[in-house]
Amino acid sequence: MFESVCFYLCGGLMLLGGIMTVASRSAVASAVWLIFAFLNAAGVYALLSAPFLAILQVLVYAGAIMVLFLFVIMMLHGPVMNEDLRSRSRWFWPALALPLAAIAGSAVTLLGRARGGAFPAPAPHGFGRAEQVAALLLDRYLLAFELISIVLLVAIIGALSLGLREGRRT
Amino acid sequence: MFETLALNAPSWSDLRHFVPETVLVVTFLLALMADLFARGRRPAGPFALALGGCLVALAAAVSSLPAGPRSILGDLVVVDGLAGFFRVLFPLIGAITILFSWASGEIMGPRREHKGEFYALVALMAFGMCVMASAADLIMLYLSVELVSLTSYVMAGYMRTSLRSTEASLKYVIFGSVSSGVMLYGLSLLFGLTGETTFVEIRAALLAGRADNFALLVAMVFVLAGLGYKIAAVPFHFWCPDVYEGAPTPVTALFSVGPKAAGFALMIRFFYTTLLSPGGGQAAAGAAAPDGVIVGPADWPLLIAILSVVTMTYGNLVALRQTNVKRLLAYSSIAHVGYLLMGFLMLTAAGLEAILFYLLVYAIMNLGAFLFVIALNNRLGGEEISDYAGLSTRAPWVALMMMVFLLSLTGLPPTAGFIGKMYLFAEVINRHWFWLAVVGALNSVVSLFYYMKIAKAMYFTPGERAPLRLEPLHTAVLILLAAPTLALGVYWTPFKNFVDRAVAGFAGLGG
Repeated sequence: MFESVCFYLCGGLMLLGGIMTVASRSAVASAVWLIFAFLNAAGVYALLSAPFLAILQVLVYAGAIMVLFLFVIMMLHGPVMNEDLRSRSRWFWPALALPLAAIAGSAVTLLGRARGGAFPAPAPHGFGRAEQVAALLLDRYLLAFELISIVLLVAIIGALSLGLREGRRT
Repeated sequence: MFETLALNAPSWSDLRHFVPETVLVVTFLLALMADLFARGRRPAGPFALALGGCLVALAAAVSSLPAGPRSILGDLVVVDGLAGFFRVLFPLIGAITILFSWASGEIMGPRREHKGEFYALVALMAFGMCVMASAADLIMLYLSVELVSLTSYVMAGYMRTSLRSTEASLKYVIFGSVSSGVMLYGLSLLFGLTGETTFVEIRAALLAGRADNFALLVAMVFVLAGLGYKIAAVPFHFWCPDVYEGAPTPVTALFSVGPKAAGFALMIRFFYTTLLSPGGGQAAAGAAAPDGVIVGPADWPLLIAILSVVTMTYGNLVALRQTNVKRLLAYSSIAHVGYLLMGFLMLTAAGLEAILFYLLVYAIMNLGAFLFVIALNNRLGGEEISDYAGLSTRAPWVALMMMVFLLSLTGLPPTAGFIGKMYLFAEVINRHWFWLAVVGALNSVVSLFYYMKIAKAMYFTPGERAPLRLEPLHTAVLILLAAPTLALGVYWTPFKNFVDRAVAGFAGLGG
């Protein structure tokens, strides 16, 4: 009982954080809301008996990556959005509400139908410890692990290729 | 999940069956490094490396045939007939793209550092598409789709200084991330329902009746949305015309055949493996679930049939109004997805054979049509239909070759497109989907109008008379693509046999 209360609390707060990230008008506020969402995601991981993942989530995402985000925002200091981007189109709320309603609807229906079944299957013994994550990552899912490194490489190339200012642009 | 840990652990020796993919990755890395040292207006080093790598991968893929069904690298990928077919197709598409980009003004023209990146990315995209075609695990499914998408975003925005190209890239990123988020939600539901990530094990769990029907429907529809975006089926197509128009034309040519074919490969493997029983022909989940209405045998084909009809009708009707040839070909490619989906919902070996054959033919003729646009863009600087006025007197042979591609895209004899459509429609009629066949045939008639709009401009609208000379490389590749488009319309048996063997070796149909 206590666990489910915590779970829905974390889940709800994570959702709030996500919505506020998108809806905030200032970039710094968005980043802080994202940290909030990440921390709650870590809580959800912990409740799903994945403590190692929860720690990583806090250290890597909420810690390192978001601090980097904040640094970049501060280096670009001042308002980075121009005025016409700041005003929301009148489709903003419908565009936000529709997918939320769809997801909430399907989630509620799914939960209703999972009456006492094995939908959230109980975690096996020793699940979520660092050894197990390492074993999966470096053994069975080795190829996927390597593939991620290539995906990240492309992302870096893309960021550089699209973001670099033209050297001698005429 | 954990008991299989030691069973099929990945090993170095598995890489023997993964040679084409390995070659393509190494090619990507080498071309990327060579680009750092490239000097001069055109990056010869990366070009040669990427082209060579694609050809070596092609040779490796051909020599590995017939690829017996083999689950390798921790059961994350399957090398079987289907994967074998696609890993011949993708390096080939990559090589052709690299070849005609070399002389394209849009790719090599703009002042830009590191032009060699383009060739490296084409090789990487070929790799990603090969992995899509052989992915046998939810994680590989997602990662390979993401790899191909990310590469696509970079390539769509290749012309940094062009507003249209940047806009295309941004639109692609936004639509792409939304649809991959939706797909990820579907995949996580599927994992939650079955507790498995491998397609085969998901099927076993579904056969055992472990999943709720409604939840399964939601999960599968979400996955379908993600993959439907990749193949640009209506209603997931909104990005397609803008991206096709804004991206550099060689990139558009690649997008219109490569990721589409890869999306189909993944869709075939995913849906056929998870929702069909090993015997083939019967939807398994419906038979095992207590109320088999939602995921049952009757509904999935009908859902796909509706998707197919909407896709082809929308694509063809909107294409009628286009004046920009790139946009016109974008909508025509949407329509072709509709035809291909007809084969997908037959759930038979003959249907799959028809899809693969059509994908092969479609790759050749659509690359040809786009190459024509590239070659003329270099000379005329535009791609409106009116730009092609009087082309039959200015460059008669080029106009004739375009005519061949257009006839083939319409599906008229004696071209390869006719044979491809014949196999598709034959199977649709064999399975008694008469209304679908009628709609498909009517759609082909509609498509004749807009393809012939281009032909009319070339042959009957008077224009400039000065002869037009194309880049020799472009002419050569055009001939290379026009010849099989004609030849396959007359003698197609070897290719049909090749496709038949691929389907016979597809693990998902119990082969």
